[in-house]
Parts: sequence; structure tokens; C-alpha cells
Amino acid sequence: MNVRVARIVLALGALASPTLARSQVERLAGRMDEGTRAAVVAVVDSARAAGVPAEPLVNKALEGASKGADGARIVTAVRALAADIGRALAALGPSATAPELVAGGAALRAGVRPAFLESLRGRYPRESLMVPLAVMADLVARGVPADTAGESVLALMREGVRDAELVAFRQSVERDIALGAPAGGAVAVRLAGTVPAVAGVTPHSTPRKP
Amino acid sequence: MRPRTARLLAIAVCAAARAAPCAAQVEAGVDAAASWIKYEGFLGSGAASVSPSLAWRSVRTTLTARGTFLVFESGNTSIQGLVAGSAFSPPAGPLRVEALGEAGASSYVGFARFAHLLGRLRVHALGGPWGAWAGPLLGTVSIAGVAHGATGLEAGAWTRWSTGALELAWTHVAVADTAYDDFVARARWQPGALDLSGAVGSRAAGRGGAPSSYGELSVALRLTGPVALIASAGEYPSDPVGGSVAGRYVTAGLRLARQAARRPAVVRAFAAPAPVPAPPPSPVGAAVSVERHGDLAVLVVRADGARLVELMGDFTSWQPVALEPGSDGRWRFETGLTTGMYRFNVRVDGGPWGVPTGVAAAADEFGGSVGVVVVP
Repeated sequence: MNVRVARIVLALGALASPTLARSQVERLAGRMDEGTRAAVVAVVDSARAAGVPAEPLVNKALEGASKGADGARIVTAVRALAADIGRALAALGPSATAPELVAGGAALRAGVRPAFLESLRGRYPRESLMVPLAVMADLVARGVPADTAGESVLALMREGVRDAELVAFRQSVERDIALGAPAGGAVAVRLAGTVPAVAGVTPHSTPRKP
Repeated sequence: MRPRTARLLAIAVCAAARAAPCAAQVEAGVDAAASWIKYEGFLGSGAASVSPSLAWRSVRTTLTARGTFLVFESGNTSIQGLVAGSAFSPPAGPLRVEALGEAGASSYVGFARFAHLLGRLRVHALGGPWGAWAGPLLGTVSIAGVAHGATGLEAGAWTRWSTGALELAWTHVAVADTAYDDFVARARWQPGALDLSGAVGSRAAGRGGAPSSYGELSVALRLTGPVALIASAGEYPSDPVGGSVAGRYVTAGLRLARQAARRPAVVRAFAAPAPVPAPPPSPVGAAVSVERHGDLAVLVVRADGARLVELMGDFTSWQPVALEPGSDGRWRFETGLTTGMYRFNVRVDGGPWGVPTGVAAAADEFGGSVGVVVVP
């Protein structure tokens, strides 16, 4: 199925579930001024027509409202999230679940390349990528270079590491960073298995000779 | 390798070190240093050295290459290079097997030439902050074009902490008509921008060779970006496998490297079994954990001494919800969460909304931060 056909199918699917979408939008009632609500609904409707799930967008608007953000800021945040999820949809394909799209959008926003998401979906067409993508996004947020975060998670997946272990991996890296380890190094340390045993003890410039 | 080749290699590595960051598992660097050296059986001499290095690390494999080009006061030169690799098996409980191989060569003013090819097999037992290994080594050593077999055994144990590691190792090696045992303690400490490492050892010679004690200390101080100041001094024994004579030295210089003075930590533990300690106190005064109840997950908040704990997030339509205290002093959000990625905030006793420890924190696009919990 090419991308255009997939989008049409998604759009039809979205149009076929107006009740669900309406219930999402109705959650906005009374939580923000009417102008902001209308602007958010417009963004949600537009995104939904492109296959982007409404729920995370509505949640973003509600979060902004609860935190006292002004209307313009709420609409900007919702629009940005819709764009992120839309890019995740293009990269992960129409079979992606809503949680995958949310996590994929977070990963893309963090700096992971869309091509990486595409290749990940290509390698794992049936598995849920929600946790790997969420872990990637968080690693990047911790300062791990995006390429390193992506390759690290992919390497662990190749090893058969399960979702719960990926979450534990993220926690371990986060702890190491909190203890002062450089972000990229913390990933390498947690990833690599064992000993390059005290590999820095002998400096390269030690003037040994035959 | 000819001096011109060495210069080109140094320039290439230098360029790699300055290039835009690629995957963090790739490290490249070059040391440029001045030394005073007293080799066993030789007069003391000054020398200048250039030592490029390159390392590539992935989950299971590591490849490293490094070399040193030395110019002595006399104008004589020495050059040496080493390529090494290691590959780990998947974990089998606490055990992993590592296969290592290395090939090296060195020469001094064209008349002393050494080369070696060595393979090692190590069985590692990993316990999180500690580990141990043992295994054989086997190879061949070429001394001035004459090949000799090299055999040996080695074993060691290490422990690590947040900023350093300590390793104790024993190696027995037999090469040609020489056999010896080395007992070495190595340590590394990386506080802030400093990278301190040292080793003390003792050699017990079985046949040929001579017993000796030795030690080395080195320091790297990261100055700015990829630049670090390096200094080292010490005494090392002869190396019949690598083909170097014993010596004493003092060296100072500069290192240009990706992750200049901060290489990946000394010893590494596999990700998943690593214990995650209790989180430090949170600014919001609460810690969150996730309890599984079948397919659903329940958020549990621990807030010692709290009278009121509230939570708002994706799963409450961002409306504050007061949690019910449990008899164990913990507060539960009893609505089960299905697989997904959720954002939420917590507040204690009517204080500011914040991110509890135990979950990832992210910018919330509204000038604050939000906790992100992933339910697998």
C-alpha cells in the first residue's frame, strides 16, 4: 500500500468514527475560552482527516489549559504535536497504533530521523514500537545524541531485549547521567556488555619501544 | 610504517576527531607528547611522540586501532601499531563469553622488528557492579623474523562505582624460552574533568626474564571541547609478546579526542540486570512507581509525611484527582492504565505541580515540565 492510498484509508477511517472524535473534542468544553477551543478543534479536525488520532491532541490542549497557558500557546503546542504525529505516521505507516504514533512523534521531536523510524518499522513490521520509540525520545532528552539513542535501542532489540528491559535500560542510563556520566558514554557503558578492562590505564603516548 | 604514513594517519585521525559527531560509540583521538625515557640497557633520552587511536564499539563488538610514532633526540625513530577486536556472546544468565584478537607490530630504527598475533577467550561472570573473568591466550610472536609460539592463562576481577573502577588481574605467559607471571592492580577514577588511572604490578619470572615490580600513573585533564592535557610517568616491564623493552618515563602532552578525557567508563555492566537504586529526593517530594496488575498498570506514589497527594495527566483529562492513601503509606491512582505513553504531574499538600522521581521528565511546551511514564 503506498502512502497516498494509506492516507486515504486513514482519512476514511477517521471520518467513519465521528462519534469517537466528537467525544474527544467535547472534552474541551468549558476548559478554555471559546476562541481557543474553536482553534484547537480546527487543528484536531484537520489532523484527524490526515489520520492523526485526536486523543493526544486534545490531551495536549487540556494540559495547557490546566497549566494556565494562554490560548495562542495552547494552539501552537497542539499544532506542533499534530505535525510531529503526522510525521510519525508517514514514517511508521498506516498500521501504527495511536501509542506508537505518540511515541514516534516524541522521538522525532527529540531529533531522531524519520528515516530511522521507517527502517525500524521495516525491521519490526508486527511488533509494537511504542516502548522503543519512547525510550529513544527520553534518551535524547537526557542528552544522548539522537543517532546513538536510535542505534542503541535498535541494538538491544536485535538482542531480543523486551520492552520492560528497555525501560530498565533507560532508567540505568538516566541514573548514570544523574551521577555525572556523559550522556553518550552512559549509553555505551550500559550497552556494551563488559570490560574494556581499565583500557585507559596505559596512555597512548607511553613511549614504549622495541 | 614510514614516518610520512604516520603523519598522514595522525592527520586523518585528527580530522575524524574534529568532524561532526557521529554515533557515540566511535571514538577517535590523537596524543602529541614530549617524553623523557630511560630504556633498560640504554642511556636516557628525550623523545617526541604522536599516538593516534580509533575505537568503534557496538553492543557486542569492539574494534580498536592505535599507533605511536616516536622520534628520539638522536633522530632515531620507532613506530608501533596495534589492531584489536573483541566480540561478546549473548548473556547466558550471569555469564558471557568474549573472544578477543589482536595483531601488532613495531620496529626501532629499522633493525629491531617485532610482530604478534594473539587470540584470547574469556568467560566473564557479571554481577552488576562487579565481575570476574578467566581464560586462555594463544598466539604467535615474530622476533626479527623468527616466529615463536605464545601461550598463557589469565584471570581477573573488577569492581566499579559511579566514577571509577578497580581491577585485579593475573596473567601467565610463555613465549619462546621465557615464561613469567604478572600480577597487576589497575584503577581508574574520573571525577569531573579529570581522568586518573594507575597500575602497580609485580612480575614473577619462571624461566628466562627477571622478576620486577613496576607502576604507572597517568592523568588527563579535559580543558575545553575535545582538548585534554595529559601527563604520565612510571616504569613498565619488558613485553615479550608486544615486543618492547622495559623502561622508565615521564610524558606530558595534549590529547585531541572525541570525549577527550572522558572515555566510556572502565568496566561496563550489561544493561538490563543493572539494579536501579532508590531515586534521590524529588523537588516535588514524591516518587512514582508502576505496579502491574495483569494487563493494567497502576501508578503508586510515595510521598512520606504527605497529607494530600494529587495527580493530573492524560488519564484524568488533566483534571486534578486526589489519590487515596494506602495503609502502607503509599498513594495509588487506582484507574488501571493500558499500554501507552502518558504525561502527568503530581503535587503534594497543595504545593507546586512537578515531576516526581521514578519517571522521565520532559519540557511541557508551557514553560514547565511534565512526567512521562511508559506502560509496556
